[in-house]
Amino acid sequence: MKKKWLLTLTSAMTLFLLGACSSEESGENTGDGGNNDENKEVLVYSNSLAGGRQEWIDEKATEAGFDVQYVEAGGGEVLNRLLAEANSPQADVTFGMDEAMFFELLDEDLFVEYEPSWVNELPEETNIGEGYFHPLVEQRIFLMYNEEFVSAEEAPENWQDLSDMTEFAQKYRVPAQLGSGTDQKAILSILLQYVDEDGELGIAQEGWDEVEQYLANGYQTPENEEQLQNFADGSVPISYHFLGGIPAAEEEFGFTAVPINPEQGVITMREQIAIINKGEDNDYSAAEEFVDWFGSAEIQSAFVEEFGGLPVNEIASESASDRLLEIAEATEPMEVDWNFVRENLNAWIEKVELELMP
Amino acid sequence: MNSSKITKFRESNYLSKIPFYLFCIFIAWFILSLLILPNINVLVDIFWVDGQLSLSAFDRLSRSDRAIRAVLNSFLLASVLTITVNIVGTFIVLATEYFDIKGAKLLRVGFMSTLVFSGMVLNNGYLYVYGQNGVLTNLLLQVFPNMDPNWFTGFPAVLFVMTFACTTNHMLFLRNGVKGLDNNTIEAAKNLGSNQWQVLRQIVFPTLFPVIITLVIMSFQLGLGAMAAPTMVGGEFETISPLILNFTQRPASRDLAALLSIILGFAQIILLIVMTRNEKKGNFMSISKTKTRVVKQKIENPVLNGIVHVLAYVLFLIYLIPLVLVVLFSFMNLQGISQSILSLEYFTLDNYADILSNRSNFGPLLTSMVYSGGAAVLAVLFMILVARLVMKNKKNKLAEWTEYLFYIPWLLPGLMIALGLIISYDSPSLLLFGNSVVGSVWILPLIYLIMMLPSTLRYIKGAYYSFDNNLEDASRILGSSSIRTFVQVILPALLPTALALVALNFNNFLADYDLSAFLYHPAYPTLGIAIRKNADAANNVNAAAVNLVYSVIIMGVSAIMFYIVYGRGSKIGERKSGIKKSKKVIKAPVIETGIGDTGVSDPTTGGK
Repeated sequence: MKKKWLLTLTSAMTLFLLGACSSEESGENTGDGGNNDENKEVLVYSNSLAGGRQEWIDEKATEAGFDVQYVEAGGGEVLNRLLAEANSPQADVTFGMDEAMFFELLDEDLFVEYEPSWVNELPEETNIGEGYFHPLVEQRIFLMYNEEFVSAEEAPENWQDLSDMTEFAQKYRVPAQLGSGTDQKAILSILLQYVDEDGELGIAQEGWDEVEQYLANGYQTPENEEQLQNFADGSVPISYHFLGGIPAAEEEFGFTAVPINPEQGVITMREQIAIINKGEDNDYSAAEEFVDWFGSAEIQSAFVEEFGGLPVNEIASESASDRLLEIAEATEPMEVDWNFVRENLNAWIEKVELELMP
Repeated sequence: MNSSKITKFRESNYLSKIPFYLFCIFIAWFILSLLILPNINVLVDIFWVDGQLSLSAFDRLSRSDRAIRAVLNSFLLASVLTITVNIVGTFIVLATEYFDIKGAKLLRVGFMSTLVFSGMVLNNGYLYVYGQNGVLTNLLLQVFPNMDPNWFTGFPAVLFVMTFACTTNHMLFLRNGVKGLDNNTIEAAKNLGSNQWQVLRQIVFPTLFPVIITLVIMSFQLGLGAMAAPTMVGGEFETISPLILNFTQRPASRDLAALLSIILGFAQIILLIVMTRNEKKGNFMSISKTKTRVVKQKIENPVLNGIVHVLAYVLFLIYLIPLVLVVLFSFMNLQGISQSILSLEYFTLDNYADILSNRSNFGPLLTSMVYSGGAAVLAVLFMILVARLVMKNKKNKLAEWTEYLFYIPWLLPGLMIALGLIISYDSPSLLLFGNSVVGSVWILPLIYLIMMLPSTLRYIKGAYYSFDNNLEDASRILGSSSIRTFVQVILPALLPTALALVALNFNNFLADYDLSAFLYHPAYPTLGIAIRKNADAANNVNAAAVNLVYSVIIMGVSAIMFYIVYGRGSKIGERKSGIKKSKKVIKAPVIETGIGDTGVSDPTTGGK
C-alpha cells in the first residue's frame, strides 16, 4: 500500500510541477508581448551567481523593476549550454565568462550588438568585444608565494623558472586538471611566452617542453587536500590564484600572499556581459535595460563592496578593497591576443591533457 | 502444453491485444526517437567535420600515453574488481541472510550503508581512516615510524575502496535472491545427505546464477566507469572516466570523449552478450510450488563458524568507520576538516545552521526528489513491461534486438545523450508531437530516465529468471485477464527487485550536477546546482565544510527514502509474492498444470 501511495504522490507532484510550469510559460509570453515597463523579464545565464551573489542581484533587480530568472553553473557549463541551445536560445543576457569564451559564442552569432550606457566609463583598451560584449570585472591570475616560508630572493621570477629550482621540487602547486579557467591560465601563462607561428599549434617546441617540465616538477593537489591549506602551512608555499579570491582566502587560512610579477606581466581576463541573439523579432528592451543597470558604476561599486573584485568601470573601481588594489598595483596586466587564444585554447588544453600531464 | 494453448487462445482475441500493440508502438517510438535518432545525430555532429568523416580522434588518442594508460588501467581495474567485489559481496550477503551469524541485523545495516554512502563522500571517508592524516595511518606510524604516510594510494587503494564500495548491488539483488530461495529444496538436499558446502554449491549458487551474472556485468561496469575512487585515492593510477567527463565538457574534444566512451560501452555490451548467451543455455530454479522462507543455516564446523564471525565483524568495521568519520567531520570547522583532526576544539554547528537556515535550499531538494523519484519509478515500470515482452519472446530476434537497443545509453556519456536530444529536438518536432526539448521542464527527468534504463532492464530481467512462470499460467487459467495477472501476480513477485531499483536509481541521480547544469529549468534549480552554488571552492573558502554537510543531509534523505520504499515496500512484496514463513505454509497440490500457491487471494474460488 505504501508503494501505491508513494507512486500516486510522485505522479501528482510531477503533474503539479508540469502544470505549474506550463502556466508560467504562458505568463511569460504575455509579458513579452505587452508592457515591458512594468514587468521587465530577463533570463540570465551566468557563472557568477554563487556565494550569495544571485540573492543580492535579485534583491536589487527587483527594486529596479526587473523580474529576473537565473541559470547558474560553472563557466564551462554555461558556455556549453549556450552553444547547445544556439538554435533556439533561451537566455536573454549572459555574463561572467572571460573574453575567450565570449569570442567563441560570438563566432556562433549568439550575440546582438549593443552599446550600454556605461561604455564611456570603461578604459578603451579593455573593450574588445566589437560592440557585442563588454567587460564588467577584471581578474588577474598570478603566481604567488607565502612570505612566511619563502623570501623575496628565493622566490622564482617567472612560471617556467620553477621547473629548474630543485629547492621547490614538488613544493609548488600545478594544476591537477584543466577544467577551470584559473587552472587553464596557469598553462597559458607559460605558453603565451613562446608564441611561434611555425610551432605546433602556434607555440614553439620550447614552450611545450617548459610546460611539461613545469607540470612534472610541481605538486598536483589531490582531491582530498585543500590547496590553500597547503599554501598556508608551508607544505606547498608557491601557488597561483585569482585576484578576487585573495582577501577571503588570506582571512580564512591566515597567510599573506605575495604576488609575483614576471616581465611579461600576469594574465588578466575580464568577465564580460552580452545580450543573447534571439532573432530579429525579439524585443530586446528589457535585456538592454538590464545590461545598462547591472553594468552601471553604481551597481558595480555596490557589488564589489559586497563580494570583492576589481571593476573595469573606472568610476566603480574606486570601490575595490585596499588589498585588491594593492595586489593589482603590484602586478601588470599581460598583453594577450584573445583572438589568437580563442582559436587555439581548446587544442592547447587538449594537447596538455593528453600528452604533457604527468 | 495445456496452458500455452489457452494462452494462445486468449491472445488471439483481437480486442485483448490492443494494449499490447499500443505498447509495441510506444516501444518502437521510444527507441527510435529517444534512443537511436538523437545519438546518431550527436555522433554525426561530432565526427562529421566540414562535410567529411573526421577520425583524427584515433590519431590524437594513440599519441597520448596518458589516455592509453588510463584505458588499460580501467580494464585492469574492471577485471580484478569483478572478482573481488563478487567475493566480498557474496560473503556479506550469505553472512547476513543465509548463515546464522550473531548480530546479523546490525551487520546488515553496516553492509547496506554503501547504498547511501557512495561516490566522493565515501572516498573522503576512507581517507579519514587510511589517508595521510587518517586514524589508521596515525596508529601504524606509531608502530612503524618510517612508513610513508601517503601509503594509501594507487591501484591497491582504488581496488580496496571500490571492493567495499561496490557491493551495494549485492546487498540489494543477491539478497533478494537469497531471500527468494526455497527452504524445502535445501531441507530435501540435507535429508539426502548433502553437507553445507554441497548445498551451497549445488542448490544455492545455481538458483542464484542469473542474479550473479547480472552482478558480474555490473561490477565490471563499475570498474570500467570508476570515477570517484581514482580521482580521490588513485594518485598516479588514472582511469578513463574522469578524462571522458573532461573531454565531454569541452566541445572541441567531444570526439575523444565519444570514442573512449564507445570503447568502454562496447566492452560492456560484449560481456553482456556473452553472459546472455550463457544465461539462455539453462537456468535453475526451484520447482517447488510451495516456497518457504530460508531458515538461517548454522555453520556446523565451529572453527569455520568462528572465522566467518570474525571476518563478518572486521568487514563491518571497514564499512562503517569511514561513514562515522564523515558524519563526525561534518561537525568540525574548516581547520579541523582541512587537517583531518577530530577535536572538540574544532566542533561547530555553524555548518549545519548555514545550510538548514537557508530556505532557498529546500526548493531544489524537492525538485531533485521529484525528478529522480519520478524518473526512477517510470524507468522501473517501463522496464518491467519491456523485460516481460523480451522474456515471453525469447526466441524472437526482434525481441532480442529490442533488448539490446535499450542498452544504447551505456555507449555514451549522459551529457552526450543530452546533447543529442537537444540537437535533434531544439525546435518543435513531429516525433515529439510538436514539442521541443529546449527550455522544457521535463527534459532533465527524461534524461535521468534514459540513463536509468540499461541497468534497470538488466536487473529486472535477472529477477524474471528466478520467477516461476507457472504462477502466471495459473493466474490466467484461473480466469484473470493478462493485465490483472500482471498487476496481481507478476508485479508483486518482482516488487523487491523493482523497489530496490527505484531506491538505487533515485539515489544515483539525487545530487546530479553535470546533467543538471546543462539542462535545468531556470524556475526549478536542482540540488546539485544548489550545492555547487554554496560549495564552490572559488567563491567560498568554506566549501569543504559545506560539501560535507550536504553529503550528510543527502545521506539522510536517501536513507529515509530507501527505508520507506525498499525497507517497508519489499516486506509487502514478500507477503504478496508467495514466499511464506515456514510456519504458515499453505499446502496446495502440485499438479501438472502448475497451479500452486499463486499469491492470488483465494485459489479455490478462482474459477477452477
